[in-house]
Amino acid sequence: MTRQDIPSELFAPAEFDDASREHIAREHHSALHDDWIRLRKNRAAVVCFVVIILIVIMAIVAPMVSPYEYYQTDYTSKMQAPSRAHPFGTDLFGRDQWTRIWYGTRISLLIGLCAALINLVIGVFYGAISAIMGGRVDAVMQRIIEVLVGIPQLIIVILFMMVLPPGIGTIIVAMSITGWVNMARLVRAQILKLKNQEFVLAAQLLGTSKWKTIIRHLIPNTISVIVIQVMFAIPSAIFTEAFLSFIGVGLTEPKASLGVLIQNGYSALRAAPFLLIFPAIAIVLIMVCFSILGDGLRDAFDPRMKH
Amino acid sequence: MAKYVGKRLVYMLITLFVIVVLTFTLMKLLPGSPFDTERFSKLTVEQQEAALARYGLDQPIYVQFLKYLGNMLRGDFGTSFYYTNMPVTKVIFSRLGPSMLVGAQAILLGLAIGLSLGIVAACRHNGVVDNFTMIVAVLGISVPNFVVAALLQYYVGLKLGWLPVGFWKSWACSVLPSIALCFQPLATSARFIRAETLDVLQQDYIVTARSKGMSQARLLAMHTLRNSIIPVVTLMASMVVNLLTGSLAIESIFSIPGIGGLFTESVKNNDYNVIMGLTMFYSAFYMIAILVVDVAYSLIDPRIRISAGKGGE
Repeated sequence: MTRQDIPSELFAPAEFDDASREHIAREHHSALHDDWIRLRKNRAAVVCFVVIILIVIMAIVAPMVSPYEYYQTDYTSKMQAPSRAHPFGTDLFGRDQWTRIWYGTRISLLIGLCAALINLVIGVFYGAISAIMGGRVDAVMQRIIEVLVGIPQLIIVILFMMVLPPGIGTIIVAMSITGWVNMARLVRAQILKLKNQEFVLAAQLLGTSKWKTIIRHLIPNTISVIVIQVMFAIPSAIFTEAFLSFIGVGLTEPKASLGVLIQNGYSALRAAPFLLIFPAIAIVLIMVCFSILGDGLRDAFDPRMKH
Repeated sequence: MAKYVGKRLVYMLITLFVIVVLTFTLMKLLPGSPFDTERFSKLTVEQQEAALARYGLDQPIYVQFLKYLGNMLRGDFGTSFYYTNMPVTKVIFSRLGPSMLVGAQAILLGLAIGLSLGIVAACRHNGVVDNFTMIVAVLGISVPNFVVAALLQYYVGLKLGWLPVGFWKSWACSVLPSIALCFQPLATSARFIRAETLDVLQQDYIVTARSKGMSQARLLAMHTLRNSIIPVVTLMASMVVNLLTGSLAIESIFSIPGIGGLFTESVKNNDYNVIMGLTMFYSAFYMIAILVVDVAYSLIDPRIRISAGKGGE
């Protein structure tokens, strides 16, 4: 049908209703709710999220309900292959590997979480203060950061581990010394970007106090950057702990972390490969899930970035 | 540009100074002296004191520090306690070769596989290769390289017996460690080039070239890769870090006489002159790598202009 064929009677003026014009058809969503909807569409990220929750629950519950303690030795059943009594076998000292792996997962997650939280607190405050104060304060704080970014983190962490008494706290402290720098830089960049945007100017024009602007406008818009960075900081801390324990400057026996278990498994590799393989699977699973969830969150928070 | 490089060099010197102070303090806080490890257990107390005096370890700390700093500026990092009387610089340089060989092989292998996978993945977006590449990319950064190394050593080296492990004699000995170390560069470069290529493929000039009837291969070579491969340079810094840390665990797993293994050995032996020398070496290497990458990137890609005012932002 060409344009000429349409009879002009068919054209009628549309009816307007002033009330319905202002009607918002879509249900109201907060920004976070929108992010959640976008994240839910990413099936891999949701699966990883569920797996992480399951791992956390198992790490808390499994060592508690297990009939064995993680340090309980039994020299009558050393290096046993996986069986019904010991699903993941037993180690050189007859300790139940199932209990030790979940206990180790607990310690590794704890270290990852604490290190990430400390980085978060220091990094956010440092970055926010630097960006909001601006001027000379910012200049000095940025110079300090420029000096710190040149330090190879792992080397310094190893040196700290040599000096401080071994333990979970030491690992967390050592990793926090230079770990917060990235967070500080990201938060500063984000706040600097926001600070000059119109909505902040509008808020200031309307007479919003400085603190209210920071709390109501700057911080909520920085949360996505912070969450994503935390998602990448946790597995990186877990990896660092495993690495330190592997080269022998991390946690010591009979304490267990995934790193300690991998180290033990490595030294018993010829006799009992399963001692290495199960903790290795555990750490890989945790790292993969955090990495995919982190990517998913990044896409959800910033859909423009998605390819 | 010269001003920018100059400024960065000044920061490097400050950072190095901070690191010297930090390592020196930490080494002084270390419990135990270098002469109470097993190797020196036969020394009497007097002999131990004499040994300490010989290395100047009986003097006040600030004197020791100033002396150390002065010597360092002259290129003298002291002598190793463990390798008796060998200058630290000599110990380090004698160990540099194997580390460089393994590191360079790992980066080249990782880049070669990673870049090809990533480019194919982008051209066949959501295809089989693409999904495979994404799985490899996630695994490559999630599986700790020392786990890969341990498994390779056991299954390929010992069980299958394809390649030698446990000693360092021929080039064949460097294959497994290089493979173990190549996964991180492989994963990051595959992921990066895939994203970059997908991005470039959506640009208007690609559509134009395509509509002119340009062949896929020519399009890829002339217009896509030229633009997507340049930012890969920025990955070099993270690869260098990965190699430095990776070498620490992997060199002891494969008994490679490199600097990574030297560092872990020295940590166990309280050989602090070597530890400090290596820390300085690693730090300087790391900072120079970052600087070179930044400068190279601004030279290759004229869109990125470094001004002296915005370093580090």
